[in-house]
Amino acid sequence: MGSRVLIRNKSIVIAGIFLTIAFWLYGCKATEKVVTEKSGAELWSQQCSRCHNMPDPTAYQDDKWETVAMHMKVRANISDKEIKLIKEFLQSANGEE
Amino acid sequence: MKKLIKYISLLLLLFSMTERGIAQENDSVQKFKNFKLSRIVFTGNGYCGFDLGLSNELVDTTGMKSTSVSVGLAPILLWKMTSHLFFEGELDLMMEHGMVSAELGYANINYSIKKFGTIQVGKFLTPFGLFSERYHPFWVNAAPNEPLGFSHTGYSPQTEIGICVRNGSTHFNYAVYVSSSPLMNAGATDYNDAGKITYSTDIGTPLNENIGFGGRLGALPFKNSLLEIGASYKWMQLKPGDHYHGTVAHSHATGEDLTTIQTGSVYAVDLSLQKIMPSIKGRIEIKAQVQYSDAGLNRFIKLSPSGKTEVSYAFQNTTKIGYALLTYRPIFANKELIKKSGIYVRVGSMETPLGSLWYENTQEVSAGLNYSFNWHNTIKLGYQEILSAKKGYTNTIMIQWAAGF
Repeated sequence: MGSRVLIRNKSIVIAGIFLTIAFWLYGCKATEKVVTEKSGAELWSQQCSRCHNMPDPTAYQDDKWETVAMHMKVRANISDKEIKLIKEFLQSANGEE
Repeated sequence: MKKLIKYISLLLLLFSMTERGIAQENDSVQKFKNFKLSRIVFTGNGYCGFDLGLSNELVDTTGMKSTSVSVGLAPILLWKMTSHLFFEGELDLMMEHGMVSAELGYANINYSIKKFGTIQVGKFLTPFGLFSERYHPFWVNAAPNEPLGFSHTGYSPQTEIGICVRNGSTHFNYAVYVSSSPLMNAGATDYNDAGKITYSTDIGTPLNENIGFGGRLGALPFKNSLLEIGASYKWMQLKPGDHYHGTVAHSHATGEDLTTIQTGSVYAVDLSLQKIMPSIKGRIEIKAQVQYSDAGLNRFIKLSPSGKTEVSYAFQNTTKIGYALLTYRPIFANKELIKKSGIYVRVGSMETPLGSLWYENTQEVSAGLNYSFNWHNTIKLGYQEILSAKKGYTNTIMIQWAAGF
């Protein structure tokens, strides 16, 4: 019974912490740099890290990035324009001539 | 003689042209083959985990300790056939609690039309909330297990067989689909499961028998995509599963024919927020999803072999699940070891229908560390406390290695 109360209280406390952090992060928005046109590199760091670690550009060759980019466009609902910029950045940074 | 020379010259010219033509043709065939092969990517992910139960209450009704090893491998094939046409397929191979399973995770053809979006046909991950579609691979998930109710056999939509239309822009994204609905467990195989909805779809499920539709709308209000908020809905016809003619019959509460198809709905809201904060030398992320499903008032009748009613009971088939995950990764730390590390805290809750034989009211708190060797290779150490109305208090230490390749 004690552990039941303890775990419920823990959940409430942790949920409260989450909400506080969310509001705090929301408040930080005012200090954000307004980016009008983002580069492929910026989009790469932003869009990829929404779900997972940023992929290493050297992980694939140009042709393979074409395919992987299409996969990620569908999976993460990334716009045509943005995925094109991300793909071009990855292809330019993968060391392939 | 002149004529002969002329003919020979002409023949030689023709021969050389044909040779060149064949060579060119061979060259273009080879180029085409190379092109086709170069657009095929073999990728996937794998994991290996060990759960160690600590608490004495970690003894289930069968008297087995829930200490287990789980291993999984999911090879993925991606193929960009043309600039518009794309195929993706995944095979899920798993071994958990000594049971090995193999399943087609997804396999679908995508046709992309600029601005209009993408049409997806086949078996695809359900665009319902964010967990099942984006965060479920263990190399993506910060924790070594899924939140309560979000596992492969849980209470959240996993895969669909049907057609989906989707698109995204800087501020909005959507996905809508029409698909074959899940089945409702009639309880013949295990009487205790009567009323459960089986969300993982079999490829053989006929599309025209149980139709469902649904979708997700996502909003990214800020230009830097820090925050994504989503709302999902799924409507489904629920027909009792193939094992319907077992010892348990199922009927609607109104007393309609036993084969009556019921309907159900699932709703969810999700949130994903990330923030790079140089002041704390790192990146903070919050991911959360809550959902509610309602499959109406269900009545189950257990029949004896002679056909007499043994047990009859009814319950409102509603399930509530939800979780929130907070992660911190010190990406600006000076030391490489710290830079590649991260911590997570997760809370979760799950409540299945009161009155059903699979009723559960469970809360979870878990926390842990992870270390990424590189962008797709992670080792995790987690601690989880679960309080269940059915199984009591349990706490577990989890170790997992997960990799995308």
